[in-house]
Parts: sequence; structure tokens; C-alpha cells
Amino acid sequence: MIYLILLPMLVSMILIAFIKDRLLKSHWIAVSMAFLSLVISSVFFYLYLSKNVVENFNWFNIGSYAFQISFIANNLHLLMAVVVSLISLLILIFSIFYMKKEKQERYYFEMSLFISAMLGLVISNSFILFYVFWELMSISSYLLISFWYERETASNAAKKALILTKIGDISLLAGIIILFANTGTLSISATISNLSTIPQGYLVAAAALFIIAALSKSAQFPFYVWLPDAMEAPTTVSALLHSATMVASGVFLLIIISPLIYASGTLIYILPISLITIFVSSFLALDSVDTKRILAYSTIDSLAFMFLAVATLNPNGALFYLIMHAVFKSLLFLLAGELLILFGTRNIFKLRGYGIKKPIFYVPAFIGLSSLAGIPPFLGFFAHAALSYNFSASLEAIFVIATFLTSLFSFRLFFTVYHEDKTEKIREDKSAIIPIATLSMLSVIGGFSLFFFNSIIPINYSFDLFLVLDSIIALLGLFAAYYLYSNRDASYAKLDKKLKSIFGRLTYDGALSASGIAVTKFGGLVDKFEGLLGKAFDKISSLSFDLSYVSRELQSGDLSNYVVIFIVGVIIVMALMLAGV
Amino acid sequence: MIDLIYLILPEIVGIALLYLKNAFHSNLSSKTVSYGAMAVTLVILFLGIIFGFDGFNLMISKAIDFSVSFNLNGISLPFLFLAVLLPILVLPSYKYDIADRDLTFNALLLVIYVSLIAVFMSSNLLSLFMFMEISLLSAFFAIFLWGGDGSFNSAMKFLIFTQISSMLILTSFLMAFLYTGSFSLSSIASLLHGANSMYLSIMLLLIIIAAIIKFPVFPLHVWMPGAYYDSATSITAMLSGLFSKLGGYVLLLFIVFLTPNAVGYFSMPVMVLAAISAFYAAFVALSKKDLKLMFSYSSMLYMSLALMGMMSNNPIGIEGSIFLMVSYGFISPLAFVLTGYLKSQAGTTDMTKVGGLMKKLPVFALFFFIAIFASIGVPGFSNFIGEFLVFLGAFKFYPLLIISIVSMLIATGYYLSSIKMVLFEKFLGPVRKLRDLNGSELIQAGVFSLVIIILGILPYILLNSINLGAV
Amino acid sequence: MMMNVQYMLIIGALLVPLVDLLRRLLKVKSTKFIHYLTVIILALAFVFELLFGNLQSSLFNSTSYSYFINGFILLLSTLIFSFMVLHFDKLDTYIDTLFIMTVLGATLTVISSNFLSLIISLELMSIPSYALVLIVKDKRHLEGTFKYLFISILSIALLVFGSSLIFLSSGSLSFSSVSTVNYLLFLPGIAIVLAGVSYEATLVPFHSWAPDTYDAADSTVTAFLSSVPKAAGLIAIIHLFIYAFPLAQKFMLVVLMTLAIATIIVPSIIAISQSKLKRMLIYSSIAQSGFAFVGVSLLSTISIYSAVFYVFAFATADALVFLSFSMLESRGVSLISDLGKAKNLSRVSIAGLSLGLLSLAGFPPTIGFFGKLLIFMSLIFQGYVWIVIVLIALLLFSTFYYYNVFRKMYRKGPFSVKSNYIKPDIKWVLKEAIIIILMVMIFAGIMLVSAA
Repeated sequence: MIYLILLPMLVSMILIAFIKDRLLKSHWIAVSMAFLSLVISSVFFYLYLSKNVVENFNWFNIGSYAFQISFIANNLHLLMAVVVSLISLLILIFSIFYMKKEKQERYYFEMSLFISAMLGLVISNSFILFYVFWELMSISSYLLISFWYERETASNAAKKALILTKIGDISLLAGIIILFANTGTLSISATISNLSTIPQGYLVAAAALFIIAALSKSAQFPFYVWLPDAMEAPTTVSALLHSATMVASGVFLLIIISPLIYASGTLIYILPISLITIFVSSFLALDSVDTKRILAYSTIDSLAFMFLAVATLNPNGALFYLIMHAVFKSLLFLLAGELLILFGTRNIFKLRGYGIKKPIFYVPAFIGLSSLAGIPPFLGFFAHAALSYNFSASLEAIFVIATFLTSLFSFRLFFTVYHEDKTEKIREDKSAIIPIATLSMLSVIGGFSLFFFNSIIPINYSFDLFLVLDSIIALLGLFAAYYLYSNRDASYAKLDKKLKSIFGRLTYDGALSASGIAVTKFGGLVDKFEGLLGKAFDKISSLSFDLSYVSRELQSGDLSNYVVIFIVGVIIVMALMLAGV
Repeated sequence: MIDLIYLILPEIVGIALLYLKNAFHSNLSSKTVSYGAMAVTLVILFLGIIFGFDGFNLMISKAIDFSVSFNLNGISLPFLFLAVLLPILVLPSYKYDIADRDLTFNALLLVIYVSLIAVFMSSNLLSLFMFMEISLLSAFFAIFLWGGDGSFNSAMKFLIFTQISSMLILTSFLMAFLYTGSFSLSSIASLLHGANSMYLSIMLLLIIIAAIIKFPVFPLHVWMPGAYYDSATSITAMLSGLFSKLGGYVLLLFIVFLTPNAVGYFSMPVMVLAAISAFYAAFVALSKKDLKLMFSYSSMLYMSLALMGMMSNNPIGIEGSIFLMVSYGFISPLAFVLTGYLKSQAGTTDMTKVGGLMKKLPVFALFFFIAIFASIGVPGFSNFIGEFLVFLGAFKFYPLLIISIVSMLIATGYYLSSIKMVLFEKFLGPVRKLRDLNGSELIQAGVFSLVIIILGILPYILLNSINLGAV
Repeated sequence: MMMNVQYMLIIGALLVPLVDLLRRLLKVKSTKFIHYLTVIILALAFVFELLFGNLQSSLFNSTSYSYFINGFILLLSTLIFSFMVLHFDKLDTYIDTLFIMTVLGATLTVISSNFLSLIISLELMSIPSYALVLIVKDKRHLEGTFKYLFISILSIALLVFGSSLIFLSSGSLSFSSVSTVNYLLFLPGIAIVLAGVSYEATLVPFHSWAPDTYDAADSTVTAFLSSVPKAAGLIAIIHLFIYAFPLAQKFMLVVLMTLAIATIIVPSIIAISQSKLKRMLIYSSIAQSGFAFVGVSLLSTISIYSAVFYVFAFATADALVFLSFSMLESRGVSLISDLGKAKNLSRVSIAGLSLGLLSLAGFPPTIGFFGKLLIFMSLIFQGYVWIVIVLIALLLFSTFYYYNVFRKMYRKGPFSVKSNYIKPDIKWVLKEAIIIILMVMIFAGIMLVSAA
């Protein structure tokens, strides 16, 4: 019955596909179905609290191999389901405001597709089912990024995103195949309990492939380049997919197969990758002038934090951060979306020019950005607490620097945009306010859930010196940003230029397109070879023509020739005979 | 209960009708006759699936054991399903390509139809060969008579290559006859066990080479770009959807029933070759700017993967390859049919010359997406199952072969580029009014998609009909 | 004295000139009934064959397939001659007699069991056929006739010489009592005999007359020459090697197979570049007899049967092809590229030509396919797999030139309008009917496979 969780969104998809705004506006279908799935998830969460239920269905058989679909209901998965449904619902409500001017059916259809896939993913217990939803998320992400397909930037971004995440998809599939071939079962829970039966070599290979899959989906180094470009999508899409849910699914994967990762000894490779990611993304965030791009880099940054938690044997800490991150990051994106709709730009300088330092804008922004930076008493602070439980001293030191950078770029955004108040009263749309308000509230109080989170999922935290240091540094970042960015237009411009020259190379877009071109060129070479093959064959056939023309000479029409040939024939026959005897 | 001969009778009646109607100057449209015959056959097929099929046997010459006998073997049904259903689905597209000679075309179509069905049903190798030859001959005419410029040369190349493969197959069949004294599939299967392995290996090798030519798979694929490109698009759909499976079917017969023990010798080299071919095809497809060529090489890619699955010496790979072949046997024609439709609207199949069609032709765009996503292997569509099983089977045989999965990445690359060029960005198209898919085309694309989706969600429909033990 | 075909034909051959004499005496202008008489005689002969069989004597001996071949020869001859009657506006009456004699010679060749009878039958078959080539008396036809005559004389001389060598070495002219005594004479004897018999069967390198002669002769005569005498010649060789030289079988394989393959290769290569349809068909016909000869050279029961069947297959197809071509030729088609205009001329002849070509190319379910199949089978059973490979390669050559015809025939585009359409007269229709009969034979032959 667990699959009921994703049923409402499936229904929404089908309804929208066929009804298409005719009888019923598609946004109402989507919102009501999302609400329904929230209700169902919560019900299940309550029902199955502290239980672990697995349901199996037979999909197909080949010989003695059974390919099964299985769903799982336990605290971890159902909690995720609730969080996903809640965030989805809020974002869909916001979409009513945001997508008012667009052709909506396609949007809501694709969003419904995405949400069903995400919900399906979090309750999957079967690798193949997991892959199915994983892939469907890639596809719906592609469709949503290319929503404004007439823009060349959008279509390129979609293609880039899909190709890069496809690398992850392929790795995931390969990993699944390796595991299935060794264990004979597709069930995640069964595989985890039977880890000892898998030869170490395959275990390492599978773990490495899963890690690559996670890195690609969660936009970590070296795959992160797709996420900033994915900001071509409508902001609500970015809020849902590219901050709260889809990109988190990479981490989610690692969380649920963490025993496998730990057993394989590949853990150690995650650390350097995450660290590189953190610093690269932070610098790039400092360099960007687009609200969504900054937020995108911040997402990459936050995801890297989650990877750090996993790498330090603290998957549940990563989970806590994941959930908290979903809340404040989607809030931030919705804010960016609101500004985009109201003022038509994402450029922080242009927004600064509009002078929008109104409480209705900057309060939620402050809440969200503070969470991001880790300033108490907002969400982020508690999230950092859970996250850093297992950090070694050196890691803590690095983390502190990271926090500083995070805070710096977050408040750079804040102080640049919310500089002064020049505008008159703004009428706010209800569907815009409700989600933002909800998320802001959650960001304020949500952190305290850390204390009783333990009853749901075992989690460790300690409010130690490190944490205090961390928060102080975060505040430091805030003030530094204030100093640098608030009033000083001139110095800002200089700083900006200097940063750009250093960090511009970090996007390695050039390298990426170069590799794309290289592959295409190689394809061209193969194609040339193909053409040559074809020509070679044609040459052979034309040779036979030439041969034919030449051999016509034999039939010269001259009788004496014929007689000669005849006699020669007789002689040859005799010779052959004698040879045979 | 339903005698298999009934699957053939409607078409023969149809062909007779077509020629008779000319003699009697009736007003009956040729298209109606062929539609009707095919539809009747489809109904009979379903009746047969429900009630069961009976064999049919007509002995023609005892001396050389030549009898026209039909009997379903363990792997017949999926292919039979494809062979009966696909041509019907492609029917609406013919109106773009067939400008003249209606009667001949429909008669030829029925001949192709009946011979292909007969191939998949035959339990006598000689009659199987005979029907295969008839279908190939008809294919030659189909390619040549209604193709574009240069269609004769392409048709000729096609004919010569497939003739070579047919001769190889015939030689192998004759070797079987030599050893067992019979052309009957079931007798050969049981009698061949005693043969010495060198003999069996040679037989299998001949078939492997023949299949490599027919799929086609690198390096014997040179006939393909010409034949696929120069034919009418709907004919290309048939070529890629059905004819490419002939080699695979015969090879499967040998792998599963006739020479199972000999497969092991060839598994490794052939699978490696198949993997190389998959990459080769993917790379060539990457550099093609013409939609038809891209889909042709893509077809070659998936056939290479099917070959890889077939030779993996385990049931997962084998059933996976059957599934992949049937699944792609629906996806590829959909792609070609859409290409044909595009050609009729935009006048070209060159991707660089069209663009932004998503806005103007939303329905076309939808089905284009379906065709491409289905092809890439997005779950929910049938190709995913086939690919998954094939890769799994290959891995089980030799782990490193999993590298072939990267070809999917390249496929994604060129497919996405095609979407970008055709559907997205600015509209470059012709000035004249474009008409979106409607009426029969809509139904056609819809049914294609429906089949692809149903197979993708409920694969056991197909998989359960495969029985690797029964001859 | 039993009633048999040969006697019947002799009577017929004598009857016709007598009736003709009567006609002249009575000053009857029309020669039609003479021709009809001849057709009836030939048809009756066919019936006789089925009912009464062949002549049996010390010089002539029937084998199991003699009935089949003779019956087939007679059927074809009847059909071809009827066609000729319809085709020529004015046919001299001596042609009738000569035709009957040629057919008689052919049937006799098939049942010869003695060198003497072989020589006589061969001569009986070929000499009248020189005149057939010369039905139309002009320079070209004369050239063809002369080449035929010359090579034929050369061959028969060799045949006589070779037979005498055999006689000297074995002491008998009868096939069955050839027992080797003196190898020194025997071997050259075989070689020379072979050379002498091969010309009619157009085996390379004894075939050189054929392209020119077949081309020069009227297409209906070509139809005859390329089917009946060729078949008879091949059967004669079969008889020679089965009955007369069984001992030679061991070492003859190489020779015979070489001849066979050469006969397939050489004309196939030349055929590719032909632009005149008739010449292409002629070269293809020569290659076909090479294929049959492959079966002969293996000298086993299976292969002989397959060769016999193949002879039947290609002879029918050749007759069909040349007769169809004759109809088209009379409307002005001579180059392959002319075929594009031919669609309106005669549907039946286009169909006949296509079907014949398909049978020659070996596509199922025509008898050409089964013939090739049987040949392949006999090759594989003897284990000569590499020859199969060579044959397959050659088959591909032939595929090309056969299908090239189709290319021109079925060219796209609108066809020339009704202006080319000439109302067919009764003769035309009857000719078409004959072609249809042959087409049926192409398919009906499948049934005969079971007889084999």
C-alpha cells in the first residue's frame, strides 16, 4: 500500500495530460493532488512510526531470476516523503502566482511527473525501481529546464544538464547491475544485509559507481557545471528540483546505501572532492551577479556539506541537514522568483537600483540567508550542529573557513540587493505570500526540532566550542559583507573585477565544451571512416565493371579466334586430365 | 485451435483480390484490400494467442525434406507479434511516399507481410529460407521502386549483402541437413547434440556472420546507410523494424535450440565486436546532421547491443535481446514515421534546416519526445527493460563488457542535439503552412506510443511468451 | 515393333514434306495448315512420350530421367514452334521438317547408349538447326549460321576422332561395354570426346560460337537453341561419363569442375557490361549451363539428379525469357535501357521476362531457386564446401546483371501514354498465352521436385 504515496501525483499527471485546462485548471489539480499526497505521507508516517515495512511485487521473471519492485516504509523514508510533499505543495502554490502568464499545462504536467518520481524514489526499496525514478527525475528536470525552449541558452542548459546527469545515471545503472549480478536480488534492504556475500572487488566498483552517480546528480565536482546553467528554468523549478529535492537525491542515495559505502573503503575519496567543491562554489558565488546563480552555487556548497557528513560516517547528520536545507533553500529561491516577477531582473545590481529594502522582502531573505550561513538561532545553526558531529579537528578548521565564505557570499547578496527603499507599496499576491511565510516560519523554529529529531532518526549533535566558533565566524562574514558591499559601490566594483579574473576560470565551461567538441570531432572521424568503407565497396563494384569491359575482347567476332580458343580448350582439358591421373 | 495457416491466408486472398480487381475493373481501392487483409490477420493472431495455435504441415518433397510447416517455437511469439502488428502501424505513412503504382505497391506490401510472418512461424528450415528470400527480394523492389535518387545502387548493395548472408545461412542449414537428414527444426534440435563440436561451431559461425551482415553490425554494415537513407521513409521503417530482426531470429534459433553448446566459443569475440560496433554506430550517429541517417545508425547501435545480449550465454541476456529487438522494433519505426511526416511538412530531413518546431507542431513534438526518450532507455518505455537486461546479461558473462553502457551516453548526446535542432530554439522552417499530426497519423503515433509504454510497464507480456526450452 | 516417340517423329518428319508436296501440286497458297500439322505432330509426340516412352534398342537406352527430359524437350519444342508460327509472317515449309528432325535428334541424343548413335543423333540435332538460324536470310543471320556450322563441324570431327580412339582402346562403341584396356589411347580419347560434345552445351571454352549465333538468330530460334539442344548436349555428357567412363570419374572431377566454373565465370563477367538485352540474356544462358554442369561434374546420383532438374529449370526459364524478349523486340525494344518504355507494350511479356529472370537469378519459389538449392546440396554432401563459396561469389555477379534489367524496367515516373499502345491481334494474344504457359511451368516445377 505504500505506493499510495505517489499515486496522487500520478493521477495529477494523467489528469492534466488529458484535461489540459479545459474542464479544470491544471494548477488546481496539481495543488490538490500535492496536498493529498502530503496527507497520505503524513498518515503513513504516523502509522508506520518506528516500524520497518517492506512490500514486494513481482515485475517480471526470467528463468529463475525474479525482478521485483519493492517499497519500504520506515522513519527515514517516510520522513523524506513528508518533507518532499510539503515542500512540493508550497512550491506549487507559489507557482500559481509565478506561472500566471505562462502556458501552464505543460508545466504542471512536468512538475507532477517530477514529484511522483521523487516521491517514488524516497519510498523505493528496489534498486531497479530506484533507478526508474532517478532517471525519470533527470528527464523531468530536462523538460523543465527547457521550458522556455525558444531560448538558446535554455535548450543548451537542458542538454548539458541531462548529459552530465546521464553520466551519473549510467554509473548508477552499472552499479546496480554489478550488485544484482552478485546478489541475485534487487532489494536494497536485502543487499545491505548481505554485504558480506559480495566480493570486495565488486563492492568497491559498485560503491565507486554509486558515488559517481551521487556526485553527478548532486552537482559536485567535477559535475557541478550543469546546475548554474539549469537556472534557465522557471524559478519554481529551481526551487523544487535544484535545491530541495532532485539534487538532494544524490545524497539520499548515499545515505540509504551508506553501509555499502562504508564497507567498501571508498569513503576516503569523497572528502577531497567535497572540499574542492566547497571552495570552488563559494568563490564562484562571490563572483556571480545573478541571484539564482548565487543560490545555485550555494546549493552546491550546501550539498558538499552533506557529502562531508556522509564521509565522516554521519549519514543521519547529512539527512538532517538535507531536510533543513530543503526548507531554507526553497525559501530563498522563491524569494528570488518573486523579485524576478515583480521587477523583471535577476541581476543584483539592477535590483539594487530598484531600491526594495522593504520588510516584506528583506525579512524572509534575512531568515533564509542566515540559515544558510549558520547563524543562530535559525535553521542552519542547528543543521551545522548535526552535520559536524564527527568532524576531525582539521576538518573543523576547514569547515570554519567554509562557513565564513558561505556567510560572505550570502550576505553579499543581501546587502547588495536590499540597499535602500525607493518604491511604493507593493501588492502581494496571496499565493506568493503563503509559501514564503510558511517557509520563513519553519526556518525560524525548525531548528529546534533537532532536539527531538532523535526520536525519529538517531542523530548526534553537540553544542561545543567548535559550534560557537562557527557561529561567530558566520557573523563575522555577515559584517564583512556589510562592510564590503553595503555602501561602497566603488570598491565593490574593483573587488568584483579582481575576483572575476581569478575565478572566472573555475567554471571550466571552456573545458567542458572542448571535451564536447572533441567527442563530436571523434564522431566525425569515425564518420569519415564510414564514408571510406562505403567508397571502398563502390570501388570494388566498379572494378568488376571494368573487368567486364576488358573481357569483352574475348568475344571478338573473329571465327579464327574462336577456333583457336577451341583448340586451346581441348589441350587444356587433356592437360588437366593427365594431371589428374 | 487456430491453425497457423490462417495467418497467411488473408494476405494471399488479398493479393489475389488485388490482381483480380484489376481484371474486373472494380473500384475497390488497393489500400483497402491490404489494410483489410492485415487487419484480419491481426485479429486472427489475437484469437490464436487466446485460444492457442495449431501447427500446419504440407509436405512437398520427401526426398529433400521440403515441407511448408508452421509451428510456434519458444521464441516465435514476440517476433510474430512484431511482424503482424508493425506493418499495420506503418500503413498510414505510405501516402507520403507512394506517389504512383498503387496496386503494385500494395501487392508487394502483402507479399512482404506474408513472407515475414511465415519466416517467424516456420518450423522447416528450408521453407524458412524460402520465405526469407521472398521477403528480401520484395524488399529490394520496395527500396528501389519508391526510393529517392540513387535508390538502385543502394537497393543493389542491400541485395548483394543480404544475398551473401542468405547463402551463408543456406550453407549452414544444408550442413544441418547433411548431419541429421532433416530440415525440421525440432528434429535437428534433438539430433544435433551428437555432432562433433567443430562441425557445430562452423554452422554457428556461418550464421553469426550472416547475422552481422543483416542486423547490421560493424564491420559488414556498409549497405545500411544507403539502403536506409535512399528508401522511402516508411520502407525504412519496415527495414529497421522488421528486416533487421531476421538475422537475429535465425541466430537465436541456433543459439537457443540448435547449437547451444557451440555458443561459448564465440561469445567473447562476438560480444566484444558488438560492443565496438555499438560505439562505432553511436559515434557516427553523433556526427550526422540528417535525421534519417541519425536514426539509421541509432538502429545499428541497438542491434549491436541486441547481438551482445544474444551471445552472452545466459537467459537474461538472451531474453533481454529478444525484448530489445521487439521493443526497438516499435520505437525505430515510430522515429522513421515521424521523420517521414517531417519531410512531408518541411520538405527536408536535414536537422540544420529546421528548428523551433515545438511551437508550431506541438503534437509532433510530443511524439518526437516519446520516440527519443523511449530510445534512450527512459524507464516507462520498453527499451529500458531491454537495455537493462542486455547489459546485465553481458556483465554476467564478462564484467568488463559493462563499458558498453557508455554508448548510451553518446546516444543521449546526439538525441538531445536532435531535439535541440529540430524542436527548440528559433523556427527556421518553410514559410508555408505547417499541419500538425492529425487523424490517422495521430492514431498511428498514439498506438505506437501505447505499445511502447505498455511493454515498458508490463514487460512480462512479452517475456512470458518466451520459452527457451521449447522448440 | 513397339510404338514410341522416335518412330512417331520419324513418321512425322516424313509426313510433313509429303503433305507439302501435295500442297504444291494442288497449288494451295496458304501454308498455315502445314505448320499446324507440325504443331500437332510435336504435341502428339509429347503425349506419346508420356504414354509409350522411348525407343529401346542396342543403340538406345532409356534411363530413369529420360522420360522426364524427353517429355520436357517435346513440350518446350511444341510451345516454341507454335510461337514461331505465330511470330513469322511467312515461314518456309521446309523449316517444319527440319524442326521435327532437330527435335528427333535431341530426343535420340538423350537416349543414346552408343558412340555411334551419339554421333548420329548429335548430327541429326545440329544440322537442321543451322537452317533454323537462317530462317531470315540476311547477312547477319548468315554470319551466325556460318560460325555455328564451322564450330559444329570441328566438334563433330573431334567427336568422331575421339570415339575412334575409344574404340581402339576398348574394342567397343557401346557405352556399357567400355572397359579400359589401353590407357594411352583411352585418356586422350575421353578428352577429345568431351571437347566434341561440349559445343552444343556451350561449355567454355567451346562456346565461342554461341554469343554470335544466338544473337544473330531470331529470338524465337534463340529460345529454342538455348533450351533444347543445350539440354540434350548436357544430358549426353552425363551419359558419357556415367555409363561410358565410370572409371574416369576419379580424375575427371578436376577437369569437369574447371570447365563448369569457367563456364560460369567468363560469361558472367562479360554480361555485366552488356547494354543489349539479348546479348546479356545469351551470356546468362551460357553461365546457366555451367551451373548445371557443376552438378554433372560431381558424378554422384544426387548431383546428377540435381543437374537434370537444373537443366529443366534453366531451359524453361531461357525459353520463357527469349520468347518474351521476342515479343518486346518486335515492338522495338533492343537495349536494356529501352525497357523503360516497354511497360505499355505487353504486360504479359514484361511479366514473363521478369519471372524468367527471377528464375534464372534463383529466387524462390521459382524452380530456378530449387535447382540451385539442389546443386548446392549435392556439393555440400560431397564435402566441396569451398566450391560452394566460389559459386556464391559468382552468384552475386549474376545477381547484379539480372537486377540491372529490373532497374530499367521499373523506372519511375509516368509512362509513355497510350500512343505506344498497339491493339493486339489474335497472334499477339496467342503468343502471350504461350508465355503464360511457360510462366506456369516455372512454378509448377516445384511439384516435380518431389518426383526427384
